Amino acid sequence: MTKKILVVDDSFVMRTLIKDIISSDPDLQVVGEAANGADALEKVRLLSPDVLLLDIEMPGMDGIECMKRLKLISPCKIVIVSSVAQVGSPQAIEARRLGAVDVISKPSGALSLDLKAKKGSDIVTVSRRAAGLPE
Amino acid sequence: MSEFVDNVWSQFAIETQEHIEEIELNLVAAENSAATPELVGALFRAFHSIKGLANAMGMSSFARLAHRAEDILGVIREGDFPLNSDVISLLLAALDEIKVLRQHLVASHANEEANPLLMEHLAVTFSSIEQTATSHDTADSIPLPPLTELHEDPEMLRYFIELAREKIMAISSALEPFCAATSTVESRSAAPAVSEIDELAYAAEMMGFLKLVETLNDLRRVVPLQSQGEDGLNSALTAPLLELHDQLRHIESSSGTPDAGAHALHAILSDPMHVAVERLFATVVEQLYLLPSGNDADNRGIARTLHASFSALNSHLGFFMPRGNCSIILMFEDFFSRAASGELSIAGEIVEMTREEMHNIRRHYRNCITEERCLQENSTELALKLQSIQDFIWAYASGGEANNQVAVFRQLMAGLNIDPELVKILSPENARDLMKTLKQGVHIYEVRVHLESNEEMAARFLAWIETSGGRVITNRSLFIDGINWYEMLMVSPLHRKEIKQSLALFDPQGTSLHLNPLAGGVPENVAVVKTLGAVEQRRGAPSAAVSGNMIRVQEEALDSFMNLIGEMVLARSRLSHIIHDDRLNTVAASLKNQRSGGGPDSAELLGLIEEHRLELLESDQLLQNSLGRLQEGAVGLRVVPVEVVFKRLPRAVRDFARSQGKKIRLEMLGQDVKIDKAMVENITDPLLHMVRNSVDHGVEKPKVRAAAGKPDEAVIRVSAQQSGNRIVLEIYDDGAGIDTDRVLHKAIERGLTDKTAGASLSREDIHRFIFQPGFSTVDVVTETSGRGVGMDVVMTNVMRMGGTISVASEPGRGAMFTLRMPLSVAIQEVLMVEASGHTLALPGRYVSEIIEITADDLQGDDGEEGVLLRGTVLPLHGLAALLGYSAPAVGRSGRIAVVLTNGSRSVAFEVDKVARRQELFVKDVHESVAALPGVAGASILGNGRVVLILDGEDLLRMALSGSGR
Repeated sequence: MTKKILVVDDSFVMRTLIKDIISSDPDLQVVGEAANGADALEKVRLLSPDVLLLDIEMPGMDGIECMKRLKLISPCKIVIVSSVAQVGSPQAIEARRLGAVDVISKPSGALSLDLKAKKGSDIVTVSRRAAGLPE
Repeated sequence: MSEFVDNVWSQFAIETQEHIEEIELNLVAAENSAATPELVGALFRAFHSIKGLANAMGMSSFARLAHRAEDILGVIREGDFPLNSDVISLLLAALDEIKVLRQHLVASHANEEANPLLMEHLAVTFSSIEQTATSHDTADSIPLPPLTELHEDPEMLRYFIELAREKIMAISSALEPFCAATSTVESRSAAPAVSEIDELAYAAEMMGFLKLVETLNDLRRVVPLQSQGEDGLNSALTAPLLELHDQLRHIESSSGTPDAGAHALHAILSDPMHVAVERLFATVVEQLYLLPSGNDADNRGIARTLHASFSALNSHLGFFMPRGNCSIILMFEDFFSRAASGELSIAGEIVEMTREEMHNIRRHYRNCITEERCLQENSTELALKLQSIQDFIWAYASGGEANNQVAVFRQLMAGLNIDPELVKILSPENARDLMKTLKQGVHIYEVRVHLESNEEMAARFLAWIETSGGRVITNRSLFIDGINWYEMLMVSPLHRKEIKQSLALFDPQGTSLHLNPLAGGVPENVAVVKTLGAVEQRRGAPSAAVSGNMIRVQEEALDSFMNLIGEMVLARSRLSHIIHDDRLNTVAASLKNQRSGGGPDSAELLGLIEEHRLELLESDQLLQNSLGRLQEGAVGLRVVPVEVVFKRLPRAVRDFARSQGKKIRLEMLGQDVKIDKAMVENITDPLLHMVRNSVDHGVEKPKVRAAAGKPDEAVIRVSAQQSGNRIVLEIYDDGAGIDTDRVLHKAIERGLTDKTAGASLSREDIHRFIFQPGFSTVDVVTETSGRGVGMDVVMTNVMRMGGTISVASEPGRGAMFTLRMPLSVAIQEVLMVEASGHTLALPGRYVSEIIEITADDLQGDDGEEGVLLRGTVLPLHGLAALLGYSAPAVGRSGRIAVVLTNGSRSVAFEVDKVARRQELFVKDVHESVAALPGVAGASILGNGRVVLILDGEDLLRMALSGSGR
């Protein structure tokens, strides 16, 4: 049974990269994507994903507000993927307090074949953990 | 590289461009009017996004550049530094560098360093800004969030309340039919309520509102509903609903929200509640009549019933009351509870008083209901009334002592400085207790304990209170700064100092136990505990304008789609050609003729042919309609709002105005008028140039304007309008206008006209000279314009696109340039001609007129022919010859020529035949064909033949270069 992942980020480029990274793992499947918090809430209701990969800085409803609302409607696990919420930052702490499984940084580094191996693996490992899969 | 990587790079290019444009608009706007927090936030986010994108692609220097800008905006966003014009200029410089780097990156896919001086400048600016910021930061005054007893996170609470409101409304409407006093409804139809209840229960659990969860579960259990009870009420349903209503009301009042869903519930519960209340009143009145009986046991029994009735009545009335309970009835409830346990005795006077009060209350209640007023207690009267009842009770219920006790107690309360919230929860019993112990000479303290930080310590402390001879009178829990405190009213024989010493043993840091000694002292040591890191309260942009479902499409895909449609149009026109072909008619006619001689077979054949022909005609018509619509739609895909073109202007105007010390306001109108994407590139530069011209030559310096009685700030207005299938762009400025005399002077200087001819020229004619090549009235070449290559290039571009340009100006008042262009370049109007047996298409815009050449008009010299036209000699060239076709000799009479002009030059091109004007769908041609001199494009005619569309500009150039003019 593949685990369902929803990717939420306001940048098309970022969503594309993240989807590409996730696609390298046969147990994970991206079932949808959203560009802002409101859209994410809609998609969660529709798709009931197992794990949400959530950005924080988004126009309209941001990641933290989205998380708070999400907590009230769905048990899905949330992983924060953000360049703002670094370890120890207020946002990271708030996110953990709200129950995020982990806070990781956005994929970075040159586009190369071993991107997935080098920088992207973080996303895969944490997503697996959040989905309850063995790492 | 792989297709995937290429795709990501294209996306990168698009997204960064979007952010760059947004930043530019915002920075220029910020300069013109004060920067709002939303604007600063948007700027911050845009630079931040660029940084993120750069990092994702591994372009570290680019990322660093964006990061520096982001950092500066970060400080400004905190409110610690203003977005002043120096910072704006610096950020614009950074943006320019970002633009340049971006272009290089997108082309090379390789990292490139940013200008080190700029980076340095940014770093220095950031440090100095940061310095000023931290120096403000001394008092560290974080405002305390309001005490919410419900939940430490006000935002989550708000979201929960929103959700609750939604769910409760749904639940209420689903359950309404079941609450009505008289109705029989099928139990099945309550089913929709179930999922709503479940979802709300889930959310409530997440919030930690366990009581609410319990109530919702109770409700859930009841929902597979049975039939109504005897009196039509479904009490199993109303009980949890009432409880739910109460809890929601509590949430509303604690959080200051007007509606968390209680209103919806109130509406469906009103009727059943009214019935219940009346019943309870009746019971109470009835029971009171039985008192006092002679028998103590009976009295207590009746008191028990009364207690229950009062309790129920209180909660039922509370349903109708804003504060949720009736204090008077509460007192009676309390009294009868004690009476039932034998603690107090029921004197006849008390019964009388009770009866009287109940009548009052009931009357008040009924009045409110009929007058549809809200049931409320009159607060001033209430306090007095409560006191008198209490005094009364104490006086009669426990003997004469009570009077004294009341007075003492009240004195005591007045003298102390106890938190009023704590006083509220002191029951009369607590009060008596307190007074008793105080008599023994103890001290009263308010203590706050943080239970969660160290539960073990808290437990030991509480145990210690007992062992040290102290006692907790009453307690409550509350939230301060997101931390859960347990507050108690404590009495102890120990002095403050002794208690403090003991507290220090339990809590050396002094973070978990706070002591507030009362009895007139000022509360000390109420420390503020700071939250770990403030979560930024971003009241951001109004919540999400829906991004509107959008798809990104490759331009090439769109172009090939357009081509396909073009091919369909042409294919159809071929079909049409065939259908309308005369040959079929000829055959039909000759068959008809034969009919008279031939047999019945011919008639049948004829009939068939005719039928077929009609069907074909019909199909053709249908096809034409469909294709017409399809074509329109396709053209529609290519159009973008003209805003895309205007976007560049604010920044440009700002820069130009600044460099010349002029004050200018730019207005842009009609930004949503659509133009073909292909035109965008060709239009942007001319537009920019004309705006530049306005700033440079049109707009005067502020002093000059003031002297002329004009406002300091000049206006440049750029507007777009659609007029039929043309788009009209106007560039207006309220500056000095075109200096007609100077223009004329220059024109004469350049030999474009002479004094005598010039004198008879109208102002418009003179103005048109500015479109001549090399024309400029400015003697000093400025940085931005004045090189004199401007307006003629603009005109060329515009004409190339099939448009026209004109100017209107009044000296001292201003100038307005008007551009008129077709909506789409893909469709062009042409004049079909024949030359040397070839069919050619001349661009309609360049065609001035068609003339007949007679021998008289010819002027020849040195093999170059000219033709006289209204007093001017136009060069005459054979079109075929010019294009390199072999030209068969043509008779010298009956010659025709087409005059092509680009507004400043005219040439007559001789052709064999002029056919007609029509619109052609321009198709892309192979490079080698497009490279042919004089060729702009090609199309296919209805008869299937290819026709070359000629380039007007090229033709003129080719014709004139030979003549040396």
